[in-house]
Amino acid sequence: MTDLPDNRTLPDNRTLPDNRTLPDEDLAVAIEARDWSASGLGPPDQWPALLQTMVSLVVGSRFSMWMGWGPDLCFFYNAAYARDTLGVKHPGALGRPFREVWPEILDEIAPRLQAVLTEGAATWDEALMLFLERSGYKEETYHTFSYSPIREADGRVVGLLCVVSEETQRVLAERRMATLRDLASGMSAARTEAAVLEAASETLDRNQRDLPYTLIYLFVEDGTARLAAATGVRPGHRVAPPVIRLGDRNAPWPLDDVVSAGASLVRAAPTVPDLPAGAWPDPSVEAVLVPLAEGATAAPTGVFVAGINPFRALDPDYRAFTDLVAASIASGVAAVRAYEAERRRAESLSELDRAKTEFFSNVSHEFRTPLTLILAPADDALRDDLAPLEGPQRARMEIIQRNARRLRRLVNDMLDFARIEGGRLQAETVPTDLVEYTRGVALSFGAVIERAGLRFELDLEPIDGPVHVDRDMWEKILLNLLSNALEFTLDGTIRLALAGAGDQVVLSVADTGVGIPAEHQAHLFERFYRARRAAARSHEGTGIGLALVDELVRLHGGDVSVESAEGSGSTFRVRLPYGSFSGATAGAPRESALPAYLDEALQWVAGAEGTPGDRPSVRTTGGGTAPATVLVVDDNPDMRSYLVRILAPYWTVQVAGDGLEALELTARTRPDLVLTDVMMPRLDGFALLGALRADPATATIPVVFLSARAGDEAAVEGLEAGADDYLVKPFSGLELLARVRSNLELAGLRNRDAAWRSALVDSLHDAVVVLDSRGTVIEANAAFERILGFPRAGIPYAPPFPWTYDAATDAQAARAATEAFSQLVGGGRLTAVVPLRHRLGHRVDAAVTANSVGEGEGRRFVVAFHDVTAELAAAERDAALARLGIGLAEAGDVRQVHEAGLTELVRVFGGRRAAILQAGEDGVGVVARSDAAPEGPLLSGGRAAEILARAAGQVTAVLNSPEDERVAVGLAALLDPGRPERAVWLELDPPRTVSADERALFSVLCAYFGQAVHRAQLFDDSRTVATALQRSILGPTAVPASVAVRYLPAVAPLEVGGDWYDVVELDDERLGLVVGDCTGRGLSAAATMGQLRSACRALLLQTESPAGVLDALDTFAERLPAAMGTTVFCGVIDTRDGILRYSSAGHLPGLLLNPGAGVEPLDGGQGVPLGFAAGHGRPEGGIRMVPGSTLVLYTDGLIERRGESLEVGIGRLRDAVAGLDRPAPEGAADEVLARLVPHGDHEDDIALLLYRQPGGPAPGAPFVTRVRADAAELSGFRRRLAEWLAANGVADMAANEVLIACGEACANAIEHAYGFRNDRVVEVAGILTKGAISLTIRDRGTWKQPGRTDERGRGIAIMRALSDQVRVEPGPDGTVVTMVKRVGP
Amino acid sequence: MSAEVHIEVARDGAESVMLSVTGEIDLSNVGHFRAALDLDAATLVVDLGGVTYIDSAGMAALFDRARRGRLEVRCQASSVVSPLIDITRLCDVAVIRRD
Repeated sequence: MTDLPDNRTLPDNRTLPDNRTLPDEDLAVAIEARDWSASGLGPPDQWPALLQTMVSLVVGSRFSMWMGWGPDLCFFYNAAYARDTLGVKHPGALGRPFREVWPEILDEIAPRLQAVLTEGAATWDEALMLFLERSGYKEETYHTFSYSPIREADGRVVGLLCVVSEETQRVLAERRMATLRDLASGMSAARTEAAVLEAASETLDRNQRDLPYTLIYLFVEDGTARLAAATGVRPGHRVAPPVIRLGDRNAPWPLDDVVSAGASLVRAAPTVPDLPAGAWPDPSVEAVLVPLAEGATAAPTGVFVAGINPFRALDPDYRAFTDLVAASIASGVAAVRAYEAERRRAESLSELDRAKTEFFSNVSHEFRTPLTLILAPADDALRDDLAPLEGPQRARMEIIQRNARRLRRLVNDMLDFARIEGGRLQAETVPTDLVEYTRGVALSFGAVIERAGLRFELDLEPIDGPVHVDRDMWEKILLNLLSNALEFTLDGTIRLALAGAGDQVVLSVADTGVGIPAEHQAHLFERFYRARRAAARSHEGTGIGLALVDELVRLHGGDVSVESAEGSGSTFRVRLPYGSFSGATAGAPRESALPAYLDEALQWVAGAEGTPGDRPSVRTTGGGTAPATVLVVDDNPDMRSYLVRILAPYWTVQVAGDGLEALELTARTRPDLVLTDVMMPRLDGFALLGALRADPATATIPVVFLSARAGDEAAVEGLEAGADDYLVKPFSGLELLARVRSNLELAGLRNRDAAWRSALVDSLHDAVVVLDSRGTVIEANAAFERILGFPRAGIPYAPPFPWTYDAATDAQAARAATEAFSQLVGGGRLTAVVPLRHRLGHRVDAAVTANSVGEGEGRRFVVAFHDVTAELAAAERDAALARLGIGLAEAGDVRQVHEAGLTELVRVFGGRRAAILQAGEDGVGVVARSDAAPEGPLLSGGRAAEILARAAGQVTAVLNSPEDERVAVGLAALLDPGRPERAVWLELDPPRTVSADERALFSVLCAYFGQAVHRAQLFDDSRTVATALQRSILGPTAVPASVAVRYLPAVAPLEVGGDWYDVVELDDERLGLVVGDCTGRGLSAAATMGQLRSACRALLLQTESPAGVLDALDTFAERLPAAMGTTVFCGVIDTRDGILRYSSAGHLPGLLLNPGAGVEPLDGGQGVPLGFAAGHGRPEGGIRMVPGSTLVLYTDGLIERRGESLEVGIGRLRDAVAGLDRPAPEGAADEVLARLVPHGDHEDDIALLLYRQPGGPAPGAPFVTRVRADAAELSGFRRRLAEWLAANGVADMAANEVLIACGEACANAIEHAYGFRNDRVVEVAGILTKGAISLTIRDRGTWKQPGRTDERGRGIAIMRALSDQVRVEPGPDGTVVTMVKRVGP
Repeated sequence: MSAEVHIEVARDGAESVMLSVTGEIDLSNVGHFRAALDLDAATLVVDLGGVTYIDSAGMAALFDRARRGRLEVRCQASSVVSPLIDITRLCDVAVIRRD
């Protein structure tokens, strides 16, 4: 035995919790208490059963409602209605005829009452404005209400039920909110005070209900207020004088009172005739005055005056509204005044800036002449060897020279600025080998940096193709950045790097200096901004250098940025586009800025070293044709400087202190003549001579000996050793000059042949190398240097050559080189492609052709080769691109493109897997990956973010293995260089080395891949747009309850088509129903459909004849070729009598489902598709739809199946709709789709429209029925209730629960009250109000002691559980059960 | 007109009987339902998957059967029957299977 539910007690009132008590006992009591004898209804216990039921229903409901009974509409209502609407008329209104209760609205309402009582038609009014006198004055109110007939069982209308909700507060709130919203948005666009006031007036003028008239007075400085705007009142009216003097007691409005009160005041309007009334019939006799102040504390700028609506009390809401309007106007005025002030300030600032630039420009220019006149004499004085300056005088003159140069540099910078600002300075960009050009400038400055004890690193990566720069500007950019780095770096390293990055060239200058505090970084590139830093070499800066860099870089279309951390250094980064030729011919070269910068920098360095003046000569690089260079080698400094003084006016002079130093210099600079002492430490003159002669590169340089040893012997010794000439000390300056000059000329002649030959060889594009019999390289041309990067100064190169791979680095390449070498030495000939290694480490594929000449020791191998790296790489790239292209071409949407691209990348690079990373709101994630069966997360979020950041910084980022720097674990590149939030990631497993070519290939493939993704996205986007467009033009989604519509686009991926439906409400009774199908697919079909739909809708409203509409559409289609062949069904249904007139332009036949009589096709009115019948007139069919019958219109997507005739499809539809006359149209539409396309597997778009001819229970009408006390009646009762629920849009679970709860109550009455006496009747009434159903079940039986208490208890429990409120009221005359159930939202 | 109910009986060996019920059960036809529930079986399985309406009289019949022997009731979780099982606490006296 199991415990039974503890719910067996008989219900009574005490078991109801308090919160379920229904309102309102007062009215029930009032009805009881009233003497009804005078009313003609008689005492309540003699009222008809229906009246009793209805009264208890009305009184028991919490929703505001009233009921009129009988021809006089005897008035019954509930507490909610009394409270919300009746006001002072309660309780006098109870039982009175309607016309006595509401005389003031009888004219407005009478037609509606008439319609309900005589025709039985329900009415619906939304937010109807009514003037009620319920609060002691005539009041503007809004009510939404419906009138439904109350019918006896025989169909006679015996009364009227009105469910009403007062909406005054909502309507007012919406109206006021709209005004406030429009006010704010209208004023937000205004930029002048006049525009603000105009916008405000326009808005206020539209709401003449709340604001019958308004005045805006703004204070003027002279103690008056000016009328700035007015609405609702004609100009010159006495309530709106143009000017009010403050304090004027005769003025219509006491403006000063408002100001001193600091808050709004209410005042009677001045007693003048013809007061403005706004939208009302009566004038506004009161006004509210509000100070116009932005915020409570601000001084008011004026006063807002608003006339008050005579039909509303000025309650707190109303007052808050006028306050908000005033606040909005005040803030609009304040904002625009602030804006105007700001604008004036900005204008004067920019004027000031312009004047300043002008001033600097003028002043700077004026500085140049005097500066030149200081510098030239100073230079002359320092250079004068005839009357040389000595000692302190020289030092002073040097100071003058140095500072004058510095000043000149500053003035030049200033002028550059002025020109840039004035738009007069253009970058004269010419194609430049930027690497070499940069190297030249950087090395010059690098010497100073090294001199300052810092390390200088130069990292110049090869750049493809020339970069177009203004060379002077580029020089300034480099020098400014380098000198800036030097200035703020006291120890460590300065590193200059240049590399190509995508379509840009990136220059970076990094130092390990003091760094820049974060707060200064943003201003660093502003003119005259000086970030004061303690540790610097100089404090003399002007703060102009970096600003100039910024401007110069901008002139090139680039940008400059800085990253810096205080204490650990700064990195400046310049990005330049490759640019284009500006067309400027390289005109007169401007003065190089280099000397000035070097001077300044040297000054810092020298200052640091404490040895001023000890600097390399930088002035030997004079203009004009380059003079020959003479290298003076002597260990005696005095001798050196003597020689220099003699030679310097004629040739460029270099000096070396001994033979070793001289050798180093010759290797670098290749002097035209060497003048050397014989006796020197470390390496003497003979040894130097020997070394020079041994090196083919220097073998031809003439060497002149200087010796203290006299005599022929010494001369012979020197000449035998190979010297070209010999001078014995002491010698005269003239003699020296003569010997040097003649030797230079001789050498010139002698070298001409050799030079010609070597020039020829050098000019070859191919590298040419000569090997001796042992395979040692003894000669090479310039192309060799260029291709492999090894200097010719390093010759001889003996095998193994530094440019072949060793087995450890790349076994395959090493083997290839070894094989090629043995083939050459063995066979004397070679033709092969040999992988070589550039000095900088990258691979060079060389196409080598080699021959040999001579025999034995004298045998020579002549090897020529050229670089085919790019060609090989290009071939590989082309092949990979082609494969990727094929893969991507087969992909249709973004997902497939992702898949194809990633798969191909994995294949090309032999990677493990690839993925696309994307930054989103919650970090970086993987959006696509090549491996279909993921093994856990591919990357951690942090790792993905790191990869994305790396990819954004480089063309192809190589992620090295943490264990071994030399191998990579993956490659990453941006999918689209312009979008740093998305990158491709390729995982290499096992890790391996990645060559520069592979990196380049990866970036090219990613770019191509990126374009494909982009295209696919555009395609996806356009499809989405087209779908959205079609949705938007497809048809109304809010349709009358008698209609259900469905639109299903074709199976995913979404395709748009040309199907549409439309429901046009022509007037209260008639609906236009349209379904059509344009030919074609895609966006164009959707566009055509949109036009046809609009045209059809317009025509329906105009002609109302379906055949006429299609006729006109024929003409339309003739002008719109895409519309030709469209099929349309167009019908007009009169919802009252069910007459349907229709015409079909080649469309599939509509189906008519008659309740209980099967399905018939609408085969009348058939014509050809649109555009083929123009001018011939179209047929029209007609049919009468019986109440409850259903019209089904559709497009072919619903029925069409491959390999099946249309007839078969239509037959299937007929079977499917049969029996669907019972569910409401919405449910029926769902059912049709569920039966015909159960899995959504349709190939074409589907449009479906169902129309149900009203009949049976009308929506909105109360449900009234009688049930005989016979259990067999219950199922019929449930069916009627279900229909009523369905007609009122209550479906699914909610409907089932109502059915069960109500069924229990009925069954209880039949079984327990009547004991199955089937001559008795249970009365059931129901009404649907906003969101709830109220049901009353009344019996007139007597409750016997029930036999099965648990069963009844269970019934009550079910009713309670399934309803929101239940009340059971047993009485002597029977029992009334009332239940309320919330439905819908 | 009485509500329509259709009951199929399947005997699974001597021990178990399975009733498959479709249609509506109310006061008018609960007797038919009761009769079917009275079938002699150690275990009675009642499949209410096809039932669109059942009232407290029908539920009472199930309670009475549960008092006499092992009862298993099957229904669809989304059907009208399911909440009624919880409201009446039939789940306390019978095995409920919802699918």
